[in-house]
Amino acid sequence: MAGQESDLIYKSIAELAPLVARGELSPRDLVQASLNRISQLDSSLNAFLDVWEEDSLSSASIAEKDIADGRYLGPLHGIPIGLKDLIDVEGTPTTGGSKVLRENLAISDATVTKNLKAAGAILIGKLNLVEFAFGTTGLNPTTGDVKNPWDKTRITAGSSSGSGAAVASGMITAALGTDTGGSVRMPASLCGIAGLKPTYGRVSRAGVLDLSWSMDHVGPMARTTEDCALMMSVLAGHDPRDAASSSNAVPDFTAEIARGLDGLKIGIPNHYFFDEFVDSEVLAAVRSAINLLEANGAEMVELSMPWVEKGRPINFGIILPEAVSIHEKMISEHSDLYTSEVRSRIQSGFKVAAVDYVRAQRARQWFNYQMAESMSDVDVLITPTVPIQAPKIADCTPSSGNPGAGSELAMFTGVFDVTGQPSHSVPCGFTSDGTPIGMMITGHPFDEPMVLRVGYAFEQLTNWHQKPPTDIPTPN
Amino acid sequence: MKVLKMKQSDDPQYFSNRAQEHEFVISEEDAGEIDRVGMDVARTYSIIRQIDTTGYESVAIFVPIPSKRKGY
Repeated sequence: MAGQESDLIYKSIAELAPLVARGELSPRDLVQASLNRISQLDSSLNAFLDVWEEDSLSSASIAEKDIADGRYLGPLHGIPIGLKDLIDVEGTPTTGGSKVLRENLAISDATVTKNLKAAGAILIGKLNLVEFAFGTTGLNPTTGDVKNPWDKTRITAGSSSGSGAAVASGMITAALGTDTGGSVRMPASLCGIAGLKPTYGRVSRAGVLDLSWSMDHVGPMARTTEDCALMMSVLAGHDPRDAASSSNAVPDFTAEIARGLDGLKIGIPNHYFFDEFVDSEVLAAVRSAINLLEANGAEMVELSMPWVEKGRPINFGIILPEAVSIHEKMISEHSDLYTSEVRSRIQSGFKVAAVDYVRAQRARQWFNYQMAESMSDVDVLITPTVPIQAPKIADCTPSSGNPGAGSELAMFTGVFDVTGQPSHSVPCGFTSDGTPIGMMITGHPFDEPMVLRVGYAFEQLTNWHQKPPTDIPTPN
Repeated sequence: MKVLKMKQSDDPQYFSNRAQEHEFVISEEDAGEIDRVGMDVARTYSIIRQIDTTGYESVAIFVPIPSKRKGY
């Protein structure tokens, strides 16, 4: 079993599913391997807030029997998956990583939870995050900081910090995160995994704690792009419980994933994303990835986007008042239970004038129009996911006297929460310190298949996504 | 209804007082942090105010709820 476990830990859903389907791999063994890895690593990484050992083994036994009896439900059947602790699972607490909600028992499943259960996925537990997802570094004084498996002195980024660390370290095969300013893609980038923020409205947010209702997205975080596509096939679809849920037809996310790069036009912005403030090693890795895509059939098109730097301010300018509106009652009743950082952010938002929020919403429309015009001749954009290398945790902790470290993290990702476009991060190299670098692929609204196609093609040409993290022990 | 005066400064004391009005627990550390975040907030909206958004009204400010009266 020990030898088998070490083989399983870093396998993708696409690799595990056929073994499970054919009865060659027991879901119970797979879940036990996941639990063993959690037991081996989580005391040092702090990715999980809750692990459901008994329930997950019991669900795995049921899955095993169902599959043996000919009731195979598809690629997620028997696969260990974790959920960011903003997502409701009936009968368990949804804390949002905060003392405020420590006794908040979910009375029903979120729609995404229901979908995963219906697909036979085994829910392993709840994952750590920034308090109420309101921050980008991934640090949380209440639940403890999540450590980056590539260098435990560094942040994972957030807010889906536990999701990033747990998938990267092989504790689970895949996870759900949420993304309001980049919280799926930033930890995916810094932890060396794939993370997709789908189009706004594509995946239901019913039963998921809000940070900013007009910017929040739920998305998959996994070892590969193909795994993100497999998860999207289960997660996507209209949900009357979510007012923003789209009725657009749901495509087959895997059907065209292997079509390659021939004939594709890739936009490369010549403003902002490749400017001098971006870390030189990040720039070099992304430029090298672009060259590789070009050498393999894609046509590169330089795009002028002088307005694009306004994206992150618009993103934050909408998030803040919406977050204040969501938290106003809770903070007035339980302000002492909030962490100082989040309490301060919310209190700062009380001064925002109503007209500034309306201006920000109008600016969002203006921004979306510019983006649609600029991208009218290309299939996707390629940019770095984040402009910096993973900062040290000590530099991001306010008490260190350096509250600014990490503040640049969401400069690029937040742009595409404003536009609601599908946006995907894949590993594209390493810094000289050995931490992962991510490349962001962003497509037209509701064209996740194109984004996934480019990500998949890149992964077939490289092996960045196959390297295991270096600052954690190998599996037992 | 109580009308709260808006003030243009980023004075931590202002936010501290404001928080007290809301009966929040606030420490000196909070006040400093609020001041720092407040400057980010001011910068954010200053950038947004520079954008000419004429004609770019948000498309879904209000959507009427369909009638729930039977027979409609």
